Amino acid sequence: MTQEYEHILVGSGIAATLIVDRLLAENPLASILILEAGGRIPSRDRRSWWNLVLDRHTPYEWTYDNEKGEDRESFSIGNTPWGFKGSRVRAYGGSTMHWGGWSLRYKEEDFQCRTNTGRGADWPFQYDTLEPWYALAEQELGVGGSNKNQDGPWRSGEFPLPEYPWSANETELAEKAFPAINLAPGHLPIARYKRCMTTGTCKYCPLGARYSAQDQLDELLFNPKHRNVVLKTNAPVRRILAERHRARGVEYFDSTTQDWSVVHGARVILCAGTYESTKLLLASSSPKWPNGLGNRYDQVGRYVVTHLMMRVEATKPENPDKLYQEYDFPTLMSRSWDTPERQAEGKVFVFNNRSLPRIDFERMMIEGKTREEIDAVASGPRKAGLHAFIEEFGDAENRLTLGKAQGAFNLPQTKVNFSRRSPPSFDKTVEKVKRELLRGLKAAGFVPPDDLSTENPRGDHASGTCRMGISPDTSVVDSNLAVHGIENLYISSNAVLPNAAAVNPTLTLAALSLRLGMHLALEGLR
Amino acid sequence: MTDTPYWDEKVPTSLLGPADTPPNEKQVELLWQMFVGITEHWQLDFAIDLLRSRWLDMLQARRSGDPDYTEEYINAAKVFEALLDALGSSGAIETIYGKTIVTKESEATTRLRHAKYFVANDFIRCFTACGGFRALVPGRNYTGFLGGSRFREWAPVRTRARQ
Repeated sequence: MTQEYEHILVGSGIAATLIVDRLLAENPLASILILEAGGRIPSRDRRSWWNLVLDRHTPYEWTYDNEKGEDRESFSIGNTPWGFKGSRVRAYGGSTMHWGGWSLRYKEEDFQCRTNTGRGADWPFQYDTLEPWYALAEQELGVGGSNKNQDGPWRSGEFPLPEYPWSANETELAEKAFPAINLAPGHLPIARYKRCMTTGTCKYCPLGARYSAQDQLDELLFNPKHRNVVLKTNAPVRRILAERHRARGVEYFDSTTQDWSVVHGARVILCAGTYESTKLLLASSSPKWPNGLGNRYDQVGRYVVTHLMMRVEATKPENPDKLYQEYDFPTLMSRSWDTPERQAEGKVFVFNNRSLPRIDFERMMIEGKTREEIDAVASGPRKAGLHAFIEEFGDAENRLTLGKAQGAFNLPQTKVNFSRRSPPSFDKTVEKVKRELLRGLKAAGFVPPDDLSTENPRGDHASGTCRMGISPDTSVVDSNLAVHGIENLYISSNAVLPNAAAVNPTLTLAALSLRLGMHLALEGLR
Repeated sequence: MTDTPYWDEKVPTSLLGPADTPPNEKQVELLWQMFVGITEHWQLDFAIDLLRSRWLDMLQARRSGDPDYTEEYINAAKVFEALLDALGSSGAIETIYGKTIVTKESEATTRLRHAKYFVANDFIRCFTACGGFRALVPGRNYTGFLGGSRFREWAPVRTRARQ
């Protein structure tokens, strides 16, 4: 059989980009095909940027899942509603086209969740194994963070870029609210890459920059040394072709021929996010793999989990200094409740509400408010808010499956069955966190309202559906992210994470992807 | 029978155009005068001339691609000119920014209301996002405002209330 490519990657987000980066670093002539289901979102584009500023329209919203209507893309069927809308971008660059750049490492204890708590799963290796890859990921993404942050995992080196200073309202919370509830304030590490290149895709200005995979992959693609790298957009993959223990290639839609085509490769690497990577395995059933590729033990799609996000808000009657959230992103956070002591009940990651206090000058001007009226609003009541992610644990009964009909790109719809088995226990944790956060806001002089909100689980951090582990009867991929039983099929997406921990997963995925890329480069083709 | 003023002529609510030709030099200057009127209307102490290049960039960007705002700019220039002739500078600016409130496209039923919804409202957003917010509040940054580099010698935001 003729191999058309050495490596076929499905997806073009951060995982694919960093794997390609490593492969090309070791062999600039490596032959690589990247298949992206979506199209190219305009970036570095003046019109898109002005549309964002003037209309508040982002150029990627059309790629979001449609949850409603007859042509909906995604379904939630468990006892706990699962949110899909706005949780991922299906386009070149993947979800880094809309992410906030939050780049946090998991902590040592996260790698031993099962051992420590009796819940979730252990990783097949320890934090120390991934630490060098975290460090490299921070370099690749240009992460700005504080080297004085407490409560983080150990680090072999400093952040490549300095942290963003807290804004004035964040300083106030750090000095008054956080100490009252024993939170050590820290600076949120944010991926800044090289310079501002994402005009029109980034809501988080002024950053100086925010990493997007599209920017980095463009650089790799346009480098004249890399002559054998091909990106195909609008090329959804609907099936992996495999023999019993070996993937042969994929079937994808070729926009040039307007038909489904087959391409062969020595390796197939799924980097299509939690949903699509998992669904692709399930959709690739065959007589030798009747339940889906790599699914002999019915593990594919199980343990789907994400973070619960809760929020508290409170108000001060006056704002004499006219403070508002000058960034559109948070820089204040704490990992003081993201500790081994809290692991059994669910670790908690606390961060500032990125939008509060908010003063919308242009809206007031457009509505015809006078200068005096605007000044009164600016110096009037001021809101503050704190958010928290609360860790949940993978449950075998919670699973991601294929919908009955075709969704976007003529790929199967997404169906998530997510239920909480012990809601009273979980609700107790949520209530406890709410009470503590409100106590902090009160200590800073804010008066809480009567109602507080908890969001339903959202798919942004969906993970666990192809989890990594030693044994094929309890996991889908091994410690090198190879699908158990198939020697040349790999997955690099949040699907492989054995547990959700309490923080955003992207930096961990970046570290795993760099590690996989180097593993593949050094292993050579078999 | 009274003639309807130019600015009160009925037009469809959807975006006008596209136009065959760009706004001429005089029309661009009329639009600039309208933009500068923001500081007058809200009594803002701000060197708005510094924003001219960004404002021109906005006009250029909104005239390229889809939808094309060229006809809206020409309409707004003509409306503003008619208002200037009839009401003088202060009256024209007060009409645009004070008396005419249009927050939905479905309310853009006349030439004046088009000029407000599709052009003047954009001018307000452009002004605030490009730095005009600093005339309203002692902040250093604002959503949509792009400033500085990552190698900053001073913080891009206020880090304490009294600064």
